[in-house]
Amino acid sequence: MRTLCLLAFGCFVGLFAYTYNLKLKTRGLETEARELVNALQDEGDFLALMRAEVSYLSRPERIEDMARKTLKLEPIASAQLVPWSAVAPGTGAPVQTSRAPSARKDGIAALIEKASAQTAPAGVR
Amino acid sequence: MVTLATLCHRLGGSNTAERAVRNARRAQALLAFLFVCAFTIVSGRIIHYGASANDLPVLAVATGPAVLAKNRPDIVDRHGRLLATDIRIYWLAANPKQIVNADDAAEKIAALFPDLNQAALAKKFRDKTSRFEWVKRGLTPKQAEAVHALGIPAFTLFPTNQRVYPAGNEAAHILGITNVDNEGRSGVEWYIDQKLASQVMPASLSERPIVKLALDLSLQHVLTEELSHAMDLYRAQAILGLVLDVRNGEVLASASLPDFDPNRREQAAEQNRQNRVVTDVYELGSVFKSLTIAMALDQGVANRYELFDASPLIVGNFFLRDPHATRQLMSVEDIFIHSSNTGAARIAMAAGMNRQQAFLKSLGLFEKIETEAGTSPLPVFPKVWRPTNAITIAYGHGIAVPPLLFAGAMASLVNGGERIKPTFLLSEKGSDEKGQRLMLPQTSDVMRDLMRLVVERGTGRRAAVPGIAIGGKTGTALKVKEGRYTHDVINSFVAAFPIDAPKYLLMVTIDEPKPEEPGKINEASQNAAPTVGAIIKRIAPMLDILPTPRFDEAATTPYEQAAPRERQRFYRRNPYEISGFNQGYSAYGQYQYSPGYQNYWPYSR
Repeated sequence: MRTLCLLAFGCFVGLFAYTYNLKLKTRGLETEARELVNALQDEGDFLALMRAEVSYLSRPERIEDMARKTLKLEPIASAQLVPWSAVAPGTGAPVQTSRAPSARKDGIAALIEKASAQTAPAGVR
Repeated sequence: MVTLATLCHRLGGSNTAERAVRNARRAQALLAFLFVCAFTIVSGRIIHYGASANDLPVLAVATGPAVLAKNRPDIVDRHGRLLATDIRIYWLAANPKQIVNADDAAEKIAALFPDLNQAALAKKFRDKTSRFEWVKRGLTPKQAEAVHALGIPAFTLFPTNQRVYPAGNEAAHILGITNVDNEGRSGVEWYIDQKLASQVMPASLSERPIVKLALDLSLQHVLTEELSHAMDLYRAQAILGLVLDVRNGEVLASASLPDFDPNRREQAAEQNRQNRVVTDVYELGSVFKSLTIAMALDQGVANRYELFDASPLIVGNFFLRDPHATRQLMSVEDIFIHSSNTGAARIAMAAGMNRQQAFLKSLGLFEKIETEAGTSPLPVFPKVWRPTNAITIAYGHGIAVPPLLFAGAMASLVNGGERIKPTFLLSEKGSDEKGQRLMLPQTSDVMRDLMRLVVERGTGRRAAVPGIAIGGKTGTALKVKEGRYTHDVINSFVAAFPIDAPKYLLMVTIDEPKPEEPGKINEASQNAAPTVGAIIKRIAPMLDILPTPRFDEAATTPYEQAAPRERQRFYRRNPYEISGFNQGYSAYGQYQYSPGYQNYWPYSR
């Protein structure tokens, strides 16, 4: 009987200690989780803010002003654009240029042409 | 234990020693049983608490701070550039009951926020009956930190969301505004709340769904800038412009000036800040002649070389004179190119009122247009269609439509005759999908050619841009004020480019422009057309519009083979002195009539 009592009491104390320990650990983890969630939230908020900031700083109005001040470039005109076919013959509609036949004899030029013919998708400028 | 033994003793009696022993055994057994039960229960509870996760306190913080204002999805343009987003801000509230030194607190707060009135704050804080007072809304994280650093426990900071528009005024009318609770109040913001709410409402600030618009921010910027430049130059009251993809109706840019900054929502309520593209109706004037002539061509009433009388016109007591008519008889082509009112009126008369009505109706010009940026009012058109109405509507007076609706109709005219629905979101329509057919493709071909001629040698010459084939139509309308036509004008220009195979349509309408210099003409050809030219010049490279290969290709094409454009160009000049009829050498050959209209031909003039 005494043995049983002692055994049960020991069990009781053991379980109590175990539960207490578990509770303490849980509290610790909880705090940690809360901190992490908060940090995550803060980082998320910051990310959203920075995204807005980047968009604000790169708005066309500002970029244009800066470009006008610092770059000595003119806006591009449509007349300056050419189709792919003019740059890499064979990819789009064929364009007859005077230098085309003679240039083919040049080995490197032929290589470049071959490469660009492979990479340049047809119809894309 | 003694009591238990006594209990057993009493129950069992203790007459004999033997019984006493038995009782004691029983008492022990009972006791042991009770102990076992108690231990089992306690152990069970302990194990239960220790093991089961359900009974543990839930992480309350995981749901985030109380959301005072709604979370909204981001709005981006077609290339993913951010147009509207939410950021974390704080609202500051105070509990006056807890404030010890009201004046001191008010002074500290007023030092942080110079826009607040210190005296009013102090008065608020001294009111000890109140437990809650808003101090300021919309604190940035830095400001919130500063308030926190004051160390006054009576202040509470509520984290919440605020809508910001990084692009500022650009596209303000399309995006619309939100209220202080972050609920959409106009434009796409309103549309999101009404139609998309269930699909795109985000859970947290960092990971949010996006709503992609058809808008292109760069185009929008160029359009806004050029329009505001034109508004200054012509001292106009207002100006609007839009760029439409003619194949699927996507609105790539749409501006209406004066505009507002959606970050300061109170500006939106100021006078004249409405979105003119959708929510206003205008009598657009001569641009309507495109529709009149397209109708005549499509329904076989006339072909492009047909001659019409352009002399002054009298119907009842309505007298119409035409300063543009250079000669008595003008071909349909010249009526369009030189924008002759009387000529257009006679074309409409030849077509008849029923056909005119049916054609305009098929283009949707009698209905409201519902877009993501708002619904337009009902177009204004005569309830009873009288001959005078038919005549004035032929050149765009007596019918008022929202500019976006008209642009949609014009897009059908140049895109091969398919109906499109203007939309501010990305269109779901595939590139090869066919829309509802409104007119013959041939009609569209002729209209494109006529529009090109307007820019080449007609009223739209100042819209020409070197290297790009533009087609368009001018429109100078007299402005209606208080029910009367005045001498003020509303000038429009509708352009499509590249006109060989139009991809985009650009429409500009200037409300009450003044001539550049006093004494100069104040017509669309002098202000709307150059504005359109300036815009196209800048946006065409952005839209990957290559220079029209007309001259380049012609130069490289061998002599035996006709040059691609010139082949058609060569026969274009029709000497209408010979006859109004197509002599058979039109580039378009014999005109094909739609089967339903065969019976009307030939009509009596």
